[in-house]
Amino acid sequence: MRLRGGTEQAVLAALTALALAIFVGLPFVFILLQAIFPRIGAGSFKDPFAHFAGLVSAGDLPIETANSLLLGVGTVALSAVLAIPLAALRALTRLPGAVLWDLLFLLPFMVPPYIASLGWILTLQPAGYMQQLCGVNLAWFLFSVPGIVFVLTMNTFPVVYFALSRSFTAIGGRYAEVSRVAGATPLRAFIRVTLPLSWPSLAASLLLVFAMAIEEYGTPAVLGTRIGFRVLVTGIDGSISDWPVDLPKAALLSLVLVGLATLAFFLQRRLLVRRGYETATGRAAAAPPRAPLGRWRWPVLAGFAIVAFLASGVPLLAILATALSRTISGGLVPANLGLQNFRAIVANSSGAFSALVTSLGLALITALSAGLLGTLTAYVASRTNARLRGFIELMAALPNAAPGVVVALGLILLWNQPALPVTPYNTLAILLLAYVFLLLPQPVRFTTAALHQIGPSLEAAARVSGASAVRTLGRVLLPLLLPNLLAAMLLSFVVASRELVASLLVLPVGRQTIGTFIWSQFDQGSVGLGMAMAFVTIVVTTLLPLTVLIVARRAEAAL
Amino acid sequence: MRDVQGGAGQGSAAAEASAVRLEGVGLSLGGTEVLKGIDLELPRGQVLALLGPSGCGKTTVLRLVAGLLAPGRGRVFVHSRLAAEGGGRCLPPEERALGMVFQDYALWPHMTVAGNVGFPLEMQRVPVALRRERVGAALARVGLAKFAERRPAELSGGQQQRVAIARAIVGEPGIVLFDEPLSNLDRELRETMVEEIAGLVAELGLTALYVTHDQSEAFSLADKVAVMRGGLIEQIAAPEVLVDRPASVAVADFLRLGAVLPVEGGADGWRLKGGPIIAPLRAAAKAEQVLIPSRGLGLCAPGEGWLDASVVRTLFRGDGHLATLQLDGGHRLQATVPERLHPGTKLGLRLADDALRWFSSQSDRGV
Repeated sequence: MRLRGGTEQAVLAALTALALAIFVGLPFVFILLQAIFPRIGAGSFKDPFAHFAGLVSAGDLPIETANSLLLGVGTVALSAVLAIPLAALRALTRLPGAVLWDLLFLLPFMVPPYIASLGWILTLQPAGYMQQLCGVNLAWFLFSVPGIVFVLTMNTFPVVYFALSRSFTAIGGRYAEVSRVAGATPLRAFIRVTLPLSWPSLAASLLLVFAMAIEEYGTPAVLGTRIGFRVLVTGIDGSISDWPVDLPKAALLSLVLVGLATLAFFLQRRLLVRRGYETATGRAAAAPPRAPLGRWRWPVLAGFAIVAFLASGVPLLAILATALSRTISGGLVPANLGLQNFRAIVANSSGAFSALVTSLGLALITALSAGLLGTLTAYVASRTNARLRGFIELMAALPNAAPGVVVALGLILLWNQPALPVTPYNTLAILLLAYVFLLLPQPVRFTTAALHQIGPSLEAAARVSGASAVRTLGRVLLPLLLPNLLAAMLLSFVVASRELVASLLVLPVGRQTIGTFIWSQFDQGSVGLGMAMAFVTIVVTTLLPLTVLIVARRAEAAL
Repeated sequence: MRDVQGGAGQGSAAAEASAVRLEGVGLSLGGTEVLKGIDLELPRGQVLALLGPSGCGKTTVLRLVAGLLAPGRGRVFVHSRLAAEGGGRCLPPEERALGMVFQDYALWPHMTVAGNVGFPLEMQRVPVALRRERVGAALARVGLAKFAERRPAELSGGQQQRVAIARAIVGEPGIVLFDEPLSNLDRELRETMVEEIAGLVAELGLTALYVTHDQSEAFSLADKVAVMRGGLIEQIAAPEVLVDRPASVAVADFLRLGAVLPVEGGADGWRLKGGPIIAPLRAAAKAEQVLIPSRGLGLCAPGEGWLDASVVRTLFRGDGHLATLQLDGGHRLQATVPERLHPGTKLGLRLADDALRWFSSQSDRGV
């Protein structure tokens, strides 16, 4: 084997480490510095920790931390209450239309929570759609802590539902069967065997829900601000964008938030690494014997229908109805319906079309950049002995626990330094930096999983046949990684195209993205135009990836 | 089905005396007919093995008895009770009072060994003190008394399967179902475990239904063996009878009893197709194939025995040499010989009287 291979790998590792340091490491270091040294903005390391006491005693830090925890725990609890019975019924009974329900419960993933929240406001506010249809409004419920928890849960419970129904299916087949023969009734088998054995996947999915809830910006911002309910995310946002700007406070709140998210992330990782019991025997699990529902059939179906209607029906219908309305005050009457809001988007009214193009373009570049950097990261971390490996793994793990608002703060602190000769600040490049930081974990996770399944002998064979390390990566590994990489890039594209909070905070002057457009139109512009944009975005970000996947599968089949 | 005890005509009265009885049981899963009409009976205190290649439906029969599947037609009796009827009611597994041992052990990983073994007693609401005593006794019986507080994952495969056996017998269920319990274990361990299971069966007077694809396991443990193929029972008989009088070519093939060769009848007797005469005409009324059983074969000098053959090759097998022999007409068979023979060596074959078994392909059954 040629010595060159070692050099090539070292160069690759060094380049990857450098890119990660700029994209991920530096912004993070600046948050740390700002949190410790309040006057770093003026280039001074004086008075470290001086602002800590004030923040704690002023109550903002403990209150916002407690509110974030309340939101997280509440969402976790409600998600569990909702998802456990639904998943059990889906996995263990002969539920009519099982696949249809799965598809309906996938829909919330396509509607970002801030858009769903706007849909709920349109429905439940005074004179909203509910009042027009039933004569009452539930604004008092929506603009309350339980209301925020409810809206977030409608968006997050499918995570638990899908994790659990897979786990119940695997365990309900093997282990529960044995307990039936040993004399347990179906209910006891579920409580004593299936449920405890599903605990790892239940806990892991609930931790993910917790992280999603404490990192969410749009829902607490639009529903909580009105009632004075501030969480860490909205607190950071306020410290950056409201006068007087308080960057030391924003940095400190960020560290608390990142700390909580990191804790959730590592607990979840530990649960998943230890693995559930589903695959303990290493053989594909047989589907469990599904029990007939009998006279429970209709009540169960009604329950599924209600949840599906609340989770995706209400927000989507409210968005569509608003998008199709000439005026909001005109209400739900045929004379008030029309397509002029969609025409306005095409005509670039208020910069709608530009925002659409900007976001989709940025999302495409984000997907490709994150895909490239993520693949290199996964490769260096899993296939080389580079000395930089530890650093690279740390850099790759960091974004997992960094919400958009924290990423934006880091970028502001780093690229706003007056000493910098050139800066991406106030250009579209700063948005790209934010999106790549946020989405790097997706390609890293997907390609690492794929790399673990590719036996080392495939690469060894290429090296023995005379290929260098880099050629082996390009000719052997990359083609094998491609399906996973494509999936990760599609996911990155979807999330980046409708990202909200980081975009709001680092948006260059005179530019708009899809998220900021919808947000500002709802706030002070034409709600109808904003909702038309929301609807177009949901349709585009659902259909585009689907089309790509179908084409890719066709192409693969044709090979 | 020859050698089947109790023909179909006896009706359900016979179910009274039997632990398990299947009457005309058929089942289709996903459009495939998995069982095509199974009749069998397992008397109390006996072991019946279901033997066959994978996909023959033997595990399906076991799951029907356990109540993990419901029959499409026919009737299943367990403990002399009608447990399931095609299209009708089906007693759930927990009401059938059975013990079961699975191929992959299926021990619950979140419970201790004692928790696993005690589970059936817990379901019967046996008081804690008595439960502990009986769990201890069951574990002692399988030689794992010291392992009560361990987790299943800390145990070896053989130990895990012993725990599973303890769990199956602790509730004194009367009937124990074994679903290929030893096929995950290596060979030496398998042989030890067969002896242990045989010991348990004898000591406890167990009634057992034992599914396996390994004939030596079936022959060692069972009073009767049912050979299954393609969703049907080819033959139910005592192991000795199966070996001596296989009911069909399929049984002879599956049990690897010897060479099955095509025959044709002539004026001078039965001959291998295009080959030598092997028996007088009176040996069989009608036949298209014959089984030359390996165990009846002996060697002698050329021309002195029943047939002459030449050696194609020999393979050393540890306890002897397996020789592939060629007869006139190109037919081949295998025999165990005491020494290595050179290819091309001529020799004579001897065969015990009445050792040949004749099959008519029309019914594919022995005549």
